[in-house]
Order: sequence, then structure tokens, then C-alpha cells
Amino acid sequence: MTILKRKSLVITALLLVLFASGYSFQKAREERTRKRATPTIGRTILSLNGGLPLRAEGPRYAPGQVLVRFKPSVSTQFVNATLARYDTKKIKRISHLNLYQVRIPDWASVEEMAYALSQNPDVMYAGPNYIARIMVTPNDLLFREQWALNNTGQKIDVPGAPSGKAQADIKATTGWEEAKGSAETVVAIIDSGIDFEHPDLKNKTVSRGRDFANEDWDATDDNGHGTYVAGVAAADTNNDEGIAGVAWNCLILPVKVADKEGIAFYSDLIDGILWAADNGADVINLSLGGDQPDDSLRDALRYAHDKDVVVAAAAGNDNTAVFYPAAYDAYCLAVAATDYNDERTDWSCFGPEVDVAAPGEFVLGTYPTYMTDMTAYLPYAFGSGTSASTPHVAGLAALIKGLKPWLTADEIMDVIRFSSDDVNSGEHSGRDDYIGYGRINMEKALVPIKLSK
Amino acid sequence: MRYRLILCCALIFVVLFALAPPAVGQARPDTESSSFRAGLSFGYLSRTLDLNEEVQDVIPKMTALLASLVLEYEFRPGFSLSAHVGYSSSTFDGLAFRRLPYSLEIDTDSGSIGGILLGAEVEKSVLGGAAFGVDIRGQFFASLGLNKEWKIPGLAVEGSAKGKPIWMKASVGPVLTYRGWEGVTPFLYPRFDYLWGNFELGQTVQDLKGSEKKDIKGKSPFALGLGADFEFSSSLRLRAEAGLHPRPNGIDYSFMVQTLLAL
Repeated sequence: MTILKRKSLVITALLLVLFASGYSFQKAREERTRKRATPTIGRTILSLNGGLPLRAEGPRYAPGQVLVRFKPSVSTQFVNATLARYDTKKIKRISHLNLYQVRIPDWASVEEMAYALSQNPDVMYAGPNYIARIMVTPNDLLFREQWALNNTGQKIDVPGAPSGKAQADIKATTGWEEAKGSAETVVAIIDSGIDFEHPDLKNKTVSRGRDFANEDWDATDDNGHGTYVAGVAAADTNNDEGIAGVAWNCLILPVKVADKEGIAFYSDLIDGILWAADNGADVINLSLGGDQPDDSLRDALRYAHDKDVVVAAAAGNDNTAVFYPAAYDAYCLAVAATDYNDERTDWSCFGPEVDVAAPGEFVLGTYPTYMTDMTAYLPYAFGSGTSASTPHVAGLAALIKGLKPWLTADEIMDVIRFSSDDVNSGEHSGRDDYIGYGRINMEKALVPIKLSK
Repeated sequence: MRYRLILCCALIFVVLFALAPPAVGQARPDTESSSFRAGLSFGYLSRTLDLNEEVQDVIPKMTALLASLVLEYEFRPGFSLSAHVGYSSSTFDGLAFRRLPYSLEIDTDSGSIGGILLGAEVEKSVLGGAAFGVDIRGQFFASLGLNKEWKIPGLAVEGSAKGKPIWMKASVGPVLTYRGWEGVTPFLYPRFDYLWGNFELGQTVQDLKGSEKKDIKGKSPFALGLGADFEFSSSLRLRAEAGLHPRPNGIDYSFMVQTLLAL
């Protein structure tokens, strides 16, 4: 209590201005224009794979089949005789390559038959009939706008914005092949609340949350920032509309600490962190901060950390020293921002506390429906700031937590740090104060890494 | 577990049986007393593994090259005991370790892992006629893998993994021989053939440490050996055998060549 009293005295000096003030919402585009161009959006576009995620699982090659490529000079008649000698049956011939898809007898394995055929002097190549799969790509209609998750070099749909550099992303589609998260993993969005009716969020919340700014039990967003952040972290994914969230299947615990002006008192922030840690949060996203240190804020972070809650906090958008609570290095991941070219943004805060970076410029997120002119706009917006970067990291932390619940918060933080791509190695090799260990990489953090001799 | 129990019982049976007096009507002449032979043995095996896991992107497999010195002691004709000491080189494919902080995968690009090979073999004639004979043979081999270290690629800091596979193979079954040819004795060796073991992989990336032990076992517990003993002289013998290990959706195989010289 004494701590809180002290807090109330310094509250006016320590008002937190959400990094929302630094992030610029820009409406994705006018819905009318979009409707004219693609009148079927959200209506008649069919779900791929019956709405189910396409999973890259199962065998690596077709059982009982081998592909055999004969030398061009070998005649069809001779090929047929050769295949018969090996007790194989032709399924298909690809004449351009003199390539045969054959069924092998039950008594032989694919490897044995491929090896046996490859020893034949008339055969150029024999091997398994490998299986290719469509990458795990969600069917959310605006996924193509999410360069941060899958950057193909697409044009960013913001006036004046250039195309990004292909591969300058967090490798979400490959990461999702290994893990899409589980509903048991909860990401607390400690922010300005969320829009509970948003089509990409309404099925993703654990409860109505907690509102410390207005002292009630309904964390409805009256600013827009929290809704935006929540969508980047864990929007409903593969639901045929809107955007994809990093933590595909994880749930959101909304905790409102910032008012409609985007201002949060440290007291509410501390309350919010403690409450989230005590109410089932596995990961906490803090896309906010102030420039003043505070021991109680640090202790609240330590409390959450000691309960094995992973905390991701925005470094700040002022091109200055890292803000608080991100600067409490031992207890949270401080997140800087990179852009669509994998370059650090010139406004991202820096310092030894920066752990990692994530996309933070023109990032598409959810936006409250009741703050959107729904006749003209979709309830989504592009935003910029370390506020946008942080939920990428929180989402990844949630996926790791769901995949490996036995890991401690410290271990998950290390996994995220060390799996990052050192995208500014040309200027600063190794860990540096600008993007820390680098831009996060979901593939390396989640997918088994092949060991080679 | 059930297979291992059956195997132990079978091996005990073979040993007890081997210690019993020679069979009535046994064809082999009892002209020599006990004797030693020594030689070399080379083998290759390729076995599909059962990891008892749901997620398997690649069918897990183990191949191994085996080389050993063999010392055989013949207690009496038709009853011998051999010991093997040597080296094994095992290669694995499709082993994913997902309980480590960073999931790691061992595949054929990970290279082979050396190990010490120890083995024992007991063989006893059971029935014998002029042309056909029945022996019973039991074998046990253990490959005690040596630690192999890899660098973990692609991380922002140095990281390494250290792995050590240990596997065992036990087989027991009747050997059906044809003795009608001079100098060559072809045989069929249908057998219960069980492979099991584990692969332990540790990971160190700065303070991030983890270790995972994965149980492995062969997909098929049965095999059929086809081979022959070649008696080049009274003191030099060569045995060659090919093993077929049927499993669901395919077949695994093994080969063995062994020479023995009387001391």
C-alpha cells in the first residue's frame, strides 16, 4: 500500500503516454473502393481445405512408388521390359524427361527399389516420389497485407509506402508448421482494452478482463491501441476474414490500464501486471512505457517473471534510451522495431537493454469496430511503433510456451533472443544496442534445427 | 517390454540347451576336442525405427556398419560360443528432439556416430542327419556410442549439441542347414530379432541447457537370414549372411561376413 501511495504522488510526473501517440493509424483503404474492385471479399471466397489449416505432416514421399528417369536414348519398349524385370508397374510417364512414376512390389521398400534401379546403367536417376505441400498459410483475407508475418516483397497498402524486401519477416508461415499455439496459453494484453465485438477478437478472449483505468470488470477499449495490439498478437486466425495473429490459437486476457487518451498511471500498470500474473497469463504484452524508472514497477515485473510469465515490452519510439518497464532487462524482453526491409527504424529506442527487434512499421492490426466508419472502412489499421513490434514477440513467446510448457520464462526469453536473425550484422555484428540479438525468427525458435556434420 | 521378456527367456533357453549333452543321432563326428578360432566380422544393418511418436515428418531409420574381432571357442563339435569386440558406426535419420529448448533434428546429414561394439553368440546343434541339420543360435550385440558434438547452426550465439546413441540387438532362432555339399553349408535362419536402445542428445546455448533421451526400437521383431558357411580348409571358415526384416509397408535388411581361422 505504501508503495501505491508513493506512486500516487508521482503519478502526474510519470504519466505514461502510450506509444500509440507515436504510432500512426492509417486506414487500410476505403471499403467501398475495395468492394468495387473485389466485390466478393468476405462473402464468396471459399475456404481452402474446408476451413481447416493445411498441415505439413505425414510421410515425406509416396509409399510404394518410385520415380525413374531413363536416359533419353532408351526406348519405351526397352523401358517397359526393364520395369517388368524389377517387378514394377508403370503409373505415369512424363515424356519430356523420359521419367516414369512406377509402383513397386510389396516385397521391396522404396529406398531399396530406388537404389536397385539407380544401379541400372540405362537409368539416369531413381528416387522416391517426394511430396510437396502447400505452406501453412492462413485463409484470413488480409493476410497478404501482413508483410511482417510473410514478406513476399508485396506492395504495402499505405499511401506513399514502398514495397518491402522479400524475406524481411518473422518467418511466421514456417513457424506455424510446427506450432499454432493452444487455447491453454493466455496472452495478457495490458493496454487500453479491446473491442470484444471485433470479428477477429470476439472468440479469442478469456473473459471481459479487468479495467484498472476505470476500476471495473470490463476492459472495453476506448482508445484503439489495445485492440490493435491484441490483433497483432493473437487475432482469430484462419477464420476466413481479417488478419492472422502470431499466436494463432492462443487466447487473450484483456487488461485495461490506459484511458481513452492513451495515458496509463504506473499504479494501474503495476496493478495490471500483478493481476494478469495472478489470473492465468502465460505471456504479458506491454506496448507502453514511460521514461521514468520505478522500483515498484520493476517489482511487479519481477513478480510476473518469478511466476514464469514471459513479459515483452516496447522499447519506445523516441530514438532515446529504452523506456520503462522495457528497461528492466532481467525480467522482460525489450523490443525494438525493424521495418519492411529488415532495417532498424530511425525512431526505435536503443540501449543495452534491447533484446530483440520485430516488425514495427506499417504493421496491420485490428481496430475497434465502433471507432470505424464501417460503411467506408474495414476495422483494421496499419500502425507503426514498437507497440506494433512487441506483440509479435509476445505471440512467439506464447507459441513456445504452448509447445514447450516445461520451459521457464528465462529459457523462453533466451530461445527468442538467440534464434533472432542478426539483420544489421553489416553495421553491428553480434548483439548490439539497436536491435539486440536481431529480428525475431519464428522458424528457428520453433522448428527442429537440422544438425549437420 | 514383452518382446524383451520373450527374448530373455529364449536366450536362457538357448544357453541351457547348449549345456545339455549332444543330441542323439547328431551327424557331426566327435573327432576333435575343444578348440579356439579367431577372425573378423563385418556387418551392415538398416532398420526402420519405431519411436512411438505422433509427429513424424520423416520415417526414422538407423543404419550401422559393424566391424569386430571374433574369438570363438568350440566346447565340442556343434557347440560353440563366440565373443565380439569392435567398432560400430551408426547413422540416424528422422530423429527429432522436441523437448530441448531448441528443437533439433538428427538426419543423414548429421553424419555417423562411432561406438564400441560388443557381442556374444552361442550356437548348438540340435538335430543332425546326413543332409540336413538343425542348430539353434542366439546372438547379442551392443553398440555403446561415443559422444558426438555438433554446432547448432543459425543461432545468434554459439551453441552446440552432444549426442550419444546406445543400441542393442538380440536374436534367437533355429538354423536350418543343408550339409549335402562339400565345403559349403547353406542355411536358413528364421529368428526373433529385436533391436532397442536410446539416443541422448544434450544442448548448450550459453546458459540455455537441455537434454533429451529418446527411446528407439526396431520396427520389426522378426527376421529371416539366408546364408552359407564356406569351409575353405579345416582351419579356415567364412560365413556370409543376408537378413531380411519384414515390417509394415516394407522390408529392412542386413548383411554379415565373417571369417574364422583355427588357432
